[in-house]
Amino acid sequence: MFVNRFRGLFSNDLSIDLGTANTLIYARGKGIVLDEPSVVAVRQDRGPGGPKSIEAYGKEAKGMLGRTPQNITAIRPMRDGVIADFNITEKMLQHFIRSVHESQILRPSPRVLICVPCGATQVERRAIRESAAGAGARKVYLIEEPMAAAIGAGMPVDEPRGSMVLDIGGGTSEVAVISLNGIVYAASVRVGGDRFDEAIISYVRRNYGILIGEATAERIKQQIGNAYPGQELLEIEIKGRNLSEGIPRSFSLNSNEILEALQEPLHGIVSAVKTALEQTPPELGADVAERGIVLTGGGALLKDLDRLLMEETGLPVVTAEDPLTCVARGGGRVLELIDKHGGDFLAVE
Amino acid sequence: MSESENREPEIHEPVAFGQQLMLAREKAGMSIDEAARALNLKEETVEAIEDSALDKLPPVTFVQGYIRTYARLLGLSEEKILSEFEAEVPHDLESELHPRSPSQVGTNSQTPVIKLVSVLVIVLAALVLFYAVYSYYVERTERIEQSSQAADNEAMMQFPPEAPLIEQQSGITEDDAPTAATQSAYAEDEEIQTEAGVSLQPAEELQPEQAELAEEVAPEVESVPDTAVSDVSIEEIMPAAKPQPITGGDILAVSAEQDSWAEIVDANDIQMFSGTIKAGRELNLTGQAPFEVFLGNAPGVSLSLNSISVDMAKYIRYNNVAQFKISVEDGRARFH
Repeated sequence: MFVNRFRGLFSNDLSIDLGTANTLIYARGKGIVLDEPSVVAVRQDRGPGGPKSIEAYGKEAKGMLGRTPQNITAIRPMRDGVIADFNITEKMLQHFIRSVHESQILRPSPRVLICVPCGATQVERRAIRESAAGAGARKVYLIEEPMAAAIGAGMPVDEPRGSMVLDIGGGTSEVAVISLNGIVYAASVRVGGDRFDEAIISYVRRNYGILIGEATAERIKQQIGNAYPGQELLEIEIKGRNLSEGIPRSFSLNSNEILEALQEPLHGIVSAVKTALEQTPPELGADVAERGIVLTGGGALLKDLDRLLMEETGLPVVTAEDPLTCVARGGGRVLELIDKHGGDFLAVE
Repeated sequence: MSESENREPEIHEPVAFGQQLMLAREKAGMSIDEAARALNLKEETVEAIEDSALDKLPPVTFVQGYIRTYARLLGLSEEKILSEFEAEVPHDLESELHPRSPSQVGTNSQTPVIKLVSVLVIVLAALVLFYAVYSYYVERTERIEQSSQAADNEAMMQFPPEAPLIEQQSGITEDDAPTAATQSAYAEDEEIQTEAGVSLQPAEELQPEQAELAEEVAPEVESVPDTAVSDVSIEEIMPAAKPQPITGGDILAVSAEQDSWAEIVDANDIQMFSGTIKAGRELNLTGQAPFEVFLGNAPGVSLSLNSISVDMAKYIRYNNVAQFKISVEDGRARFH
């Protein structure tokens, strides 16, 4: 106990956005110190049952996704916002926590705040808590993702006034109405950046008979993806394996095709927002209608997504500044507030 | 909330962001009402944006979003307008949040000041501890050095320079009575060999005055028992030989005929020897009597203290182990 406290003196408070696609770490007083894909490459020599070792973490491991030999597997230990592979997640967290501390002598023992999807079950929350403790955290706080996102976006969550936030992550999208430092309504749908990629992959396979990988699909989404028909038509040249010939072929896609491909996951998000508005108490609904919905998370970077939501809901929709880091920054702010006002504040577990 | 700055839309270079938006809207032939409907905002909000009237607007997060969509609607560069907005209205995106109920502030070990103070206290404590251990160690080594040097130094120091120089050869075996070759520094410069039994009379202390006294008295002493040497020289040698068994300078000679384990501790609790003595080896240990002697194979070892051989037969137990404490009193070994 005392040793932990001593080690804690040499550790920074960390707020971790343990996402399906990316893990971000915000260190108190330093800002975002780590932004790496949540990917781990595991090497297993001497066949199945052989000893396992970690080959790479983060960006390096992501480059290996879909490009590994037999003895290496690139794993994404998080699925749909929760832990899919407990041990690998623990190892990954341990590596990330160490890499944000300069001291190599003393094992860091920080206080850690981790964001969990509001749809996470008790079992899933416990898994996250324990993997962080196993990774060396002295104390683990959990906070619901939309709360952290709203604080990170700078919304006045302490006012007696409804604020709606929509956080579109890699695995899940969370929509929540917040008032008086608490969540009034929250819903989580398992639609996010990954589902967009899958939709693009299946669209290309269905319409072109060509198979593309996840990395290519992500690149298409980032470069020409959009959520609302715009005036300009963007094109991209990509390569994939022709299913009938079995030979890699080059072809081009345009933004309207991607819009068509993304219809299904986008509909999932829009209906989640509409359901939230239906379920919100009328007073808070009126507040939301006046100020609007705030978009955060990597999904908010999809072109014209705010436009789509504006058209569908008839409400003002604004994209937060730097939406990718909102959750991690919000978590860091919560850590400061915990120190200032005590731990029971802000529905922190 | 961020600092709300209600700056009047002045006409200056460059034009305020609100004015730019208004000019672009008028240029596009759009009324405030139309713009508000396109943005899903109230008319007043759009007017407030164009007037840069932040106090009539919601928090900065929202305003930035409104400006972004407004700029996009009018075909202006979002980034340019936003950077102008930031330059004109300095703000902090972090909202100041407060708990709704009075809070109990927990212990906070993470503020930089407390962190620094804790680290300083720990470093200071470590230094103090280090210093304490260091000074204790130094003191201890000094004490050991002092007591081990005592034998050498004290004998020299207790005599004035004119006192006779004593040279003792102590490669002594237990059988032949230890011979102490003493050199007289004055008188006839005679070199006399005496039997240790006679010459090494134990004396508690010998003061220089005594030596001088003995010297003065010497010529008058006539009767010296059964020694072949001249009266004068005997009397001269007596003071010269006596200094050996000085306090703190007792010599314990251990000679082994068989291998034996031995442990010898002197009166100051200093362990003078511990280990095995090989057959045929001799040890001459100088320390402070009484000595605590512990022998593993006592019959194979003989002892002499200040050249007086010690008969330890009655202390040898059935398993050949002997443990006792000895000193010399009145020319005889005394067991404690």
